[in-house]
Amino acid sequence: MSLDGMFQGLSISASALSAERARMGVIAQNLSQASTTNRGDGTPYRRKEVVFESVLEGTLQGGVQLAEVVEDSATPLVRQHRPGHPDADANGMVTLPNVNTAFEMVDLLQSSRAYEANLEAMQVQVRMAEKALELGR
Amino acid sequence: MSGVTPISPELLRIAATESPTAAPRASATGGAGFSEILNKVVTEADGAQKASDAVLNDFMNGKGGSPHEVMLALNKADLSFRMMLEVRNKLLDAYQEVMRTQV
Repeated sequence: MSLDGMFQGLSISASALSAERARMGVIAQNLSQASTTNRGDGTPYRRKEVVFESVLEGTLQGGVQLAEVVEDSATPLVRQHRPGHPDADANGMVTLPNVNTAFEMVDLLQSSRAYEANLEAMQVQVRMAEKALELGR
Repeated sequence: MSGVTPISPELLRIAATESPTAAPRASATGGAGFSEILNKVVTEADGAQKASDAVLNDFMNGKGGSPHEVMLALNKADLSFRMMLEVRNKLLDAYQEVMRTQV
């Protein structure tokens, strides 16, 4: 469509909003699984992280998209002494996920702020287009 | 004061050969005619309306999509429609102005 030029910036902001929503979903998953000691195969949950990449169509249109969700294997799992726990080993030690709730909350806040920033960029662009249309009056 | 700009021969030609309700057709000189331009803008606005309808429908029926995608589609439809309206107003103004010209 030839009117697409009017919405190019809007599409870029929208792609960022989608990406941030995906990041929030992953953070929510990390938080909810913060104490899952068995994810079915006997191993505890490992925190996940998102990787973003830019979408390039030509040189102008540069949105962002979710490239992949990777498992964090660098952060060590937490070991706790809980003899009564069904997943405890012979020494009474339980391996807990490497999710740090405080860090996840910081990520969540960051994601939320990024979402707001892109939303604002979108709103400004819509307002600009509306103002430009007023030229016709 | 630079005086009144003379009406371009192009505009006079459009007014003389095209009526607002005429079917779209290209002019003899190759440029787009009055109704052709109008038709194109209306088609654009209509396409955006239909697209936003589909996105909203999918979202409301739980077939995916997210709030911002719906709002983006609605905004696109809104802006396209207002763009169409402005173009239509301008074209009709010019047409009527030319029709009122005393000969």
